[in-house]
Amino acid sequence: MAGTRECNSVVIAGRLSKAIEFFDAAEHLEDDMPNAAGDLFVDAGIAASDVICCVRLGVHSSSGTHSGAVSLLETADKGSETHLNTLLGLKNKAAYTHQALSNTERKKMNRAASHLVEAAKRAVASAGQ
Amino acid sequence: MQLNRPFATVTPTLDGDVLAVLAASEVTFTITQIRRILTTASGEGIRKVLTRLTAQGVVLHDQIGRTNTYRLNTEHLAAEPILALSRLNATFLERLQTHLEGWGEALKYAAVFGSAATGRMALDSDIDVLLVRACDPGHDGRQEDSAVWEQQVTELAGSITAWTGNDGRVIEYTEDELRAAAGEPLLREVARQGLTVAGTRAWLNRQLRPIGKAATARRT
Repeated sequence: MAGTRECNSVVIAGRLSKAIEFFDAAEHLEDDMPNAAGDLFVDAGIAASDVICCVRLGVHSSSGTHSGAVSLLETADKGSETHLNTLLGLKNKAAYTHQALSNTERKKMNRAASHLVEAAKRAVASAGQ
Repeated sequence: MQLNRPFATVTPTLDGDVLAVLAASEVTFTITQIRRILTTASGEGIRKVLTRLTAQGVVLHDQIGRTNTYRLNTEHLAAEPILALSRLNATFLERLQTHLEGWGEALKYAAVFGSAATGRMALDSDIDVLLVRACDPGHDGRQEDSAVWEQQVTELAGSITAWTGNDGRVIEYTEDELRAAAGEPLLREVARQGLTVAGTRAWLNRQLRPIGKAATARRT
């Protein structure tokens, strides 16, 4: 598949571990450092999406485009792509602009990342590594 | 059973593993792609399975140039039970969630952990479940509640065995015990790898965090 990279059990385990680490760090920070937390929620969501795609398709996105990553995730786990889309849509605001994330946006990012991390864990549980 | 190999409940052959890959997503796969996902199967073995399943009509075969692609025929009469089998792990977790919803506020948190959560089950693996109870019955003296709880825990273990054939191993903590034991490796494992089936993982992390931070501070 174009715009993808092959992955194996080592990649799956490593990306899942990072997804959980990023998510836990984001939750830990979110009250005091919402923008840093927002950026970490995005990292968690991307890592979790990679896990889901690796488990189901044997590849993860390497296109570097948001649409490519979202589209691949839709193929692997229909429904989850909306959560990745939410995170990627707020990534610029969290990381690259002068504006601060609102509480609503931060909560939205938490929910989206939480969904993706849980989905990644369940994908691994369903199919092994 | 192995929740990570749901088709092994009806067939121990490679056919089940290949069907599990095809049923997981609505895309076409090449033999190389299936082999990459299954890791231990040979390309020739997968090709034979796909030929067999194509003859049954349950797999659709296309040839694009020199590339052979395969996908599940979702209109086939057998597609529905195949998809249901491929979802056994999700079905188990959903059933567990529904079962635990009936326990009310006494249950603060529950998660499946261990090999059932990491996809490394053996046929005879226990299915580990962590339960966190809202209060310690020994402290408030509500013996009736305690009896109900114990009955529920016993029934839960029995239900897990009935649903899967595996022993259900239930580990119980009260909220107080959980906080006191926050540094234990088992609880760290649940927080990282557990599949939450009651309550929220954020709640669990909050209970474990203060002592975890203190431990980190002590180390540095």
